[in-house]
Amino acid sequence: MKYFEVEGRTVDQAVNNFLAENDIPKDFVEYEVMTSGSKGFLGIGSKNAQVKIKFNEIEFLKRKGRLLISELLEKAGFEDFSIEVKNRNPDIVLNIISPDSKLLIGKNAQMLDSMQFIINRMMDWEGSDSSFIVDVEDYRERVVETLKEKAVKLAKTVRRTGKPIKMSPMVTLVRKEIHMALKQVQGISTVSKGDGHLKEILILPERKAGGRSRRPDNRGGRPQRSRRPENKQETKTEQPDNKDGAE
Amino acid sequence: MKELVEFIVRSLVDNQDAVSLKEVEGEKASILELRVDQSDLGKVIGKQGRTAKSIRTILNASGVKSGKKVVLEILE
Repeated sequence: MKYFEVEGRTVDQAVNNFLAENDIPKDFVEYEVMTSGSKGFLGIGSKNAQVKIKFNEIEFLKRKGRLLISELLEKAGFEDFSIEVKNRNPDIVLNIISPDSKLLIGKNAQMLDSMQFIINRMMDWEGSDSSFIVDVEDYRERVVETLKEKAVKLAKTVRRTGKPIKMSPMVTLVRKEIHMALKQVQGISTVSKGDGHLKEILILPERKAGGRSRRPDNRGGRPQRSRRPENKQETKTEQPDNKDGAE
Repeated sequence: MKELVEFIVRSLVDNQDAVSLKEVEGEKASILELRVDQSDLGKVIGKQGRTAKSIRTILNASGVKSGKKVVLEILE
């Protein structure tokens, strides 16, 4: 629910102006008159009406999302489909059920992402933190679940070996879910890396638990490589620094 | 197809009257030529061409469904 306080010459005018300005159908608001205003005498001493409007944003967005995606699908030549609207705070999930599911998901969920991107663009989201999530037969949910499981496995490997691992590029929403899932795993941290809307998640071993991540160094051959240059660099850079300082 | 693009583009731009679409029938595929107001060009193309790419992806899927191939061209 969202609340607005509006003013107008009369109560009706105040409410109607609000509805027209925001392009909201009447069914989604309830209002309460705060002061009903008075005309005054020949316009002198007139007082504006003040109204408190209760806007049922979630229901409004659900309806709007359903209409947008239905129209898009119909215009694209898809006829056999139904849409299931779910509210996953603060987002609205539009789940399409259709025998054309394969085509609607597309290669690497390209069609799904395109439809989602377009209908979010069509909608004016100003002042709202919600967005539409388009899904086909819960495809996204299933993919995110398997990716989460994979990420947790990788995170455990990172913790064990002390070496960072990069996951393949993913879209914002999926990345968010994975970052959240990996917060549960201790001894690692996660960073997104890359440009644009597709970024890679980097799983890093935590420095503080350094004891754990360095121990395996004694076993493998690689640590020797990394140690020597490190020592050399340190000695090389330190000496000139000292000289400069002394002079 | 034309309706689809018109529906998408009209809801993206500010100046809806300046949206014009022309369908040019070709041998294998038909071409949709889209013109919008200069100031709305960015809205139709999007950051790194993402909006244009999305419209084309939807157009492709629609083309597979109806068995007609349509290419979208955005003209300046």
